[in-house]
Amino acid sequence: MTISLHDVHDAGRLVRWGLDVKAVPGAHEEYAQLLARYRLEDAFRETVLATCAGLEIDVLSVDDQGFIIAPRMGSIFSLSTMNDWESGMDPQSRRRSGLVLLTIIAVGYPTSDALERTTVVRVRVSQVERALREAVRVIEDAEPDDSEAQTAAHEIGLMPPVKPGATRQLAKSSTLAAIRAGFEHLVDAGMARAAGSVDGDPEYQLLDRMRVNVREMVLPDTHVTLLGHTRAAAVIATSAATTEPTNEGALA
Amino acid sequence: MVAQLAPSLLDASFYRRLRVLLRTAPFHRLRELRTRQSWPTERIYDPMAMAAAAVDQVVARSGLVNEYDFDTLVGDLASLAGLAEPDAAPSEWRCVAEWVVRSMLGEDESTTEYSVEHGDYRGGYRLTPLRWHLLREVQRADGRIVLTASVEVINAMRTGLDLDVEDAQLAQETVLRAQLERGDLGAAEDSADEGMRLSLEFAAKMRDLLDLTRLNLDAVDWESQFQSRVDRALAHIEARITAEHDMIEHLSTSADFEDDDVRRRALEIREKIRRCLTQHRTLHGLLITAPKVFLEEQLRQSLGGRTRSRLRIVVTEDLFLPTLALDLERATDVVSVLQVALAGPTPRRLLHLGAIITSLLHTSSDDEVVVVPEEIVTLAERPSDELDPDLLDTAYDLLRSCRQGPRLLSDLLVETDDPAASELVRLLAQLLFDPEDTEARSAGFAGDATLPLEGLGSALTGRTFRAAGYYGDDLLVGAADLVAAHPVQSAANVVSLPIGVSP
Repeated sequence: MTISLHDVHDAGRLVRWGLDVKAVPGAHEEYAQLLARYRLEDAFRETVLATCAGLEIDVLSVDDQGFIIAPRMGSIFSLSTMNDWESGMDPQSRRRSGLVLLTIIAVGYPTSDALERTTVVRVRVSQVERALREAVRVIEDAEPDDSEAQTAAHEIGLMPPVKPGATRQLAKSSTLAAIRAGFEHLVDAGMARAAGSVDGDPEYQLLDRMRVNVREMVLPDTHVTLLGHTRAAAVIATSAATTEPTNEGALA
Repeated sequence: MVAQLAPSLLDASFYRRLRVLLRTAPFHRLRELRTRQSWPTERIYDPMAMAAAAVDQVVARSGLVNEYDFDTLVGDLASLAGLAEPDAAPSEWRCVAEWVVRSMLGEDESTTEYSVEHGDYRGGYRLTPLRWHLLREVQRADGRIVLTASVEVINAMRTGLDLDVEDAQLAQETVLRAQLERGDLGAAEDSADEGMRLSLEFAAKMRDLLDLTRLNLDAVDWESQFQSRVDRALAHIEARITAEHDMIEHLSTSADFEDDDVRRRALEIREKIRRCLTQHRTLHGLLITAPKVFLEEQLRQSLGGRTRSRLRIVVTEDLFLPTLALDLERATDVVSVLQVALAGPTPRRLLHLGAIITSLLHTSSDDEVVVVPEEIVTLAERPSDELDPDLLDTAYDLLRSCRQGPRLLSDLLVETDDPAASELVRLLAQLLFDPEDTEARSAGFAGDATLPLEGLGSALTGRTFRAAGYYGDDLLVGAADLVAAHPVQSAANVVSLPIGVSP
């Protein structure tokens, strides 16, 4: 396999288009041509993939929608600090923001099968709001009063759906504002598009990039991290239960 | 037992016919639900006819540059609703049309497909699920989001019989040929329409096969299933291309079309056949490269560093609730991973020192025009009774700090994280500069608003600034006698800008 400098240049160009999350091949001739080369020329494809590997980038999908890539954890192309996501958030707000995002995903892709269909999904803010409150209700019914889950659920449950802010915009501490902020982040990342509103209820379209990203990265990565923490928490709880003296132990 | 009672229940073709019947259920449901909507029950809209027309229209434009999107289809169906109830309001027509299209996109808000179960008596009775969609939105390469119809609904609308599309194409082609040869152009035109629908149905079926292959790489048996299906499809398409080419040739060279009307019809038929030919040529190209679907996916997995996830995760149960149960520190860690993954690539912009220095040295000229976006809503538009006393205290405290020494408004504005407090600081600083400031007045500040700021004043610095979402003339705020030494100008202009917008 002979690779020319021209191929290397073009491979770099294709990665550049992949990093431009809002660009679509149908609107940029060079992008479309490079995608065609990627599909038809084995040597070029391997050069592109090797370039991506060097840049710590995963290729998630290559199709008519474009060259969909994602940075690996710690890559120069991934968020470096959480302030890059949204500045000035305290840990509670960050947790709430994450739970809102998870709810958007749950509403948009209620089953694993939904992640396998190349369908653009419409989701309204009110649907996410309802799903969020329903999840909170489940926790409040099921968990003991002093549990962490109960505290977190209570925090979300206390948020008013709408709260006017000083500048006539929704206050950040309202559920609808938190949900809209979540959607707007997705719009910025090229994963969603605003689609007007239905009776004043904002609606968004979750694009194919979102589906691919959720399936390939969001769910597996989040799941693995979550498992690590739940196992760690379980080990700590077990260890505490076996080492802490009980009344019976003290008596014995 | 079943063989004696109803032998057809053991026949596969029975279940194909049953499924065709079931797939028309959403159309009947639209008819049933039409009187339970927001418009008056006496209206005579026919959502079932509108839905069927929608499928026809979407299929007719499929693959063309003017493919239907959501809004265009709603608009066209609203026009149909208008013909049914001309005296109703256009907003009602739109409401009916939108309900029809949304219903066709999914059974309810949480799914984009329909799902029913039917009894199956083969090998003992059981319920078998049947899932399908009518319309769905897909994104094209140019970013447009358009509507497409499913293979199943095209089939159901075509004949009402679950005929194999390849066989139907062969039959239709034979009929069309015969009609053209005997010069029956009226019938041939209908057959050509049918031919277009069939070629689109066949294309949709093949695209589904390729999608399925890409999505279920592990499950597909390349040698025995996929390759043989692709080979059969290629042979079928090649035969269609030859036949269509012959028919176009026949219509182009025939000397029988001397009458203008006949010639026009012949041209229309030729155009329809040409569309089928184009569709089949595109599909041929797609299938020829089909083996690459496998190679691409394999290579992507080997070099892309990430294998396809086969996790069956239910987000609410497997992620949302367990994350809620974690302590705050662990929960935020999980959430961080989620946010990093959802942010996608975020390339840093490298510093271009030359451009930065040029920008820093640039001073605004007097005739610089500041464009204020219309949608920006400032406190100035709020009635006075909405001023928050806590926010006012914050603003007053900040401005009172200038008694220790003069400070720039641009510095004061970035001192607080609360945009509402920043806005009050701006307005009060403008009042200190000009007690008759109309913007501050209309924001609800009375003449005594600056009383808590007694002894303070502000003056123009002659410099512009951009900070905290504001852009405009910078003011120096400090002890009145100190700042009075600055030359007084006629007006101070500070406006708010949305984050990220540069003047």
